[in-house]
Amino acid sequence: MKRMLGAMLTALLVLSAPAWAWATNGMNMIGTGAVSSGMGGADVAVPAGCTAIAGNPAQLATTCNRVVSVGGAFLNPQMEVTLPGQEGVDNEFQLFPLPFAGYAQRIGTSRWSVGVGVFAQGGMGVDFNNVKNFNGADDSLYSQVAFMRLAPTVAYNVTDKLTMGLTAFAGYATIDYDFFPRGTQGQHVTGLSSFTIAGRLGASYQINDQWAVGATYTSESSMDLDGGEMRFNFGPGLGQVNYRDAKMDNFTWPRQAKVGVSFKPASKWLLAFDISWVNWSSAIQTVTVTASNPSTPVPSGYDTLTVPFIMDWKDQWIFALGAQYEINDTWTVRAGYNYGQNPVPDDTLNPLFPAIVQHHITAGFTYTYQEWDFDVALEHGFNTDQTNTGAPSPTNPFSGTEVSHYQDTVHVMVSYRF
Amino acid sequence: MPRLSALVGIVLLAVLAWAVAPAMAAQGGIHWLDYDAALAAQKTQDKPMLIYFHLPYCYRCKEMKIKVYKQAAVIEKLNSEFIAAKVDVEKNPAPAKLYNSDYTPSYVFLSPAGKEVYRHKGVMGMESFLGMLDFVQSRAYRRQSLEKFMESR
Repeated sequence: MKRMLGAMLTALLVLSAPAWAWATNGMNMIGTGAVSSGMGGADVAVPAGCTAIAGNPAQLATTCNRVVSVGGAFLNPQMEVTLPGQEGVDNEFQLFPLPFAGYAQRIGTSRWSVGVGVFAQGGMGVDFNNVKNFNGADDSLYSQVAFMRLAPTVAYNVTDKLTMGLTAFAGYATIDYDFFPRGTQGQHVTGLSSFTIAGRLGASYQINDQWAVGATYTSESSMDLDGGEMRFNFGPGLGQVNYRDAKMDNFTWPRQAKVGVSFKPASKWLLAFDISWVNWSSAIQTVTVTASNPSTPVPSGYDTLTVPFIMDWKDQWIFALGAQYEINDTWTVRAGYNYGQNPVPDDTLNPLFPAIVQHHITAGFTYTYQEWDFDVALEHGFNTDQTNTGAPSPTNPFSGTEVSHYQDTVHVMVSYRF
Repeated sequence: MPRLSALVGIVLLAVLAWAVAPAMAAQGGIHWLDYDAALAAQKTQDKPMLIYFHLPYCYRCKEMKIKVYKQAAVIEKLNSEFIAAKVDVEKNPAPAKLYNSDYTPSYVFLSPAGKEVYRHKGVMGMESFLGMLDFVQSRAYRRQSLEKFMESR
């Protein structure tokens, strides 16, 4: 049943494509949709229409009538991993589609607006081939963390100036990874999945014709990742053993708080600035993978394996700045900058989970034709280098490893108002 | 000589009044009437009527207020050439139902005889809105679309 529901949610996203992402503020996308992304993710006090489902739910009230939006992003990460004493290895070419689909409408002429959407919240992943494992043989490092959300949303115009919104997130997450599967202690883990529940409360206040403020609070999404399988390589002797039950504990999508302000210095200009806080320190600490139920007989003590990943991520502050200019009724252009602190500590850097990119610039435009909006945004995440400075130990096998990472993303969206 | 000075003074005052008239008109804003008052006004004035359907908390209506309705050229045009009715579709749903117009912002134009001649919806820029007013005032809707009319301007 769980897998069936997961498959249905996934089918809503994209036709079985690997719709999972490298995300860029930790594991989150910097923006929600092409308009938000074009402004560097500064969106909490900016009218959003349908994409408010994934942003500030209070902004759903700005849809005014009915709107349907379909689109997404294509993300191309560029990474290099350099293990101690080895040449650097680039990741395989990856282009991740990140779909968004949503519908929103005002209920009649009332103060209520409702909407529903499905979108990729974020994730991360690497695909390094021909990396020498700890036995000196060619091996691979691979990971894929995917998180999608179905988000019914409601917004209410409390007054002419104050709007409130609430989103209930029904999430579905999957994780697969390979940790040098051909070497001793190597792991090949597939099929970890979890449903999650979370909520987001948002508010927006229009101070006057020029100034507006907004805020959101998103609760933590606890995950119960199980249903997976692990192939563990014990090396000479026992060899590879398949464990039919694998689960992952202490991997959580963090709570987040965001505040922002927007300013219209002139009728055609809009400036926006957001500050976000993401509580990674509570969400990602020591992630533990437990495997049990081996498919072949194993010696006593090998029935259950526990593999800890000490990650101890830090809380993250994110600063987003965006500008929008309406050239005429048809064309609107945008630009933005986003800085998100690197949540990964130097002493626990793991090339399977290197969510380290910090600086992003964005640019975008909207072409409006009658009731149609065509939005496009380009996003570049500048290269970030990081080296694991922790002492080598069984729980820190990547001591001295260096990771470099930058990425480019194209966002597109089509909206129709009726 | 005093007569000449007086004459010059009168001319200067006239020029000044002519120069500041639009701004003075703009200062008062658009003379919005409620729907019933606008219908009554149309019986005594040979002008087309704009019925503007809005909601006070509609974001796109606020956009229209900022981008269009505060502009002097729009204020002058509407106040001098049109009867302007503003209908809150929540507080006064009857006109919205009559014209089947729950979309906000939207615009329905009536001829001086009270017949609906054109309608439009959505946020517009000032130039487009002024073009639409010219389109209705010149009765160009009888022979071409607004898009063609705007292209020919």
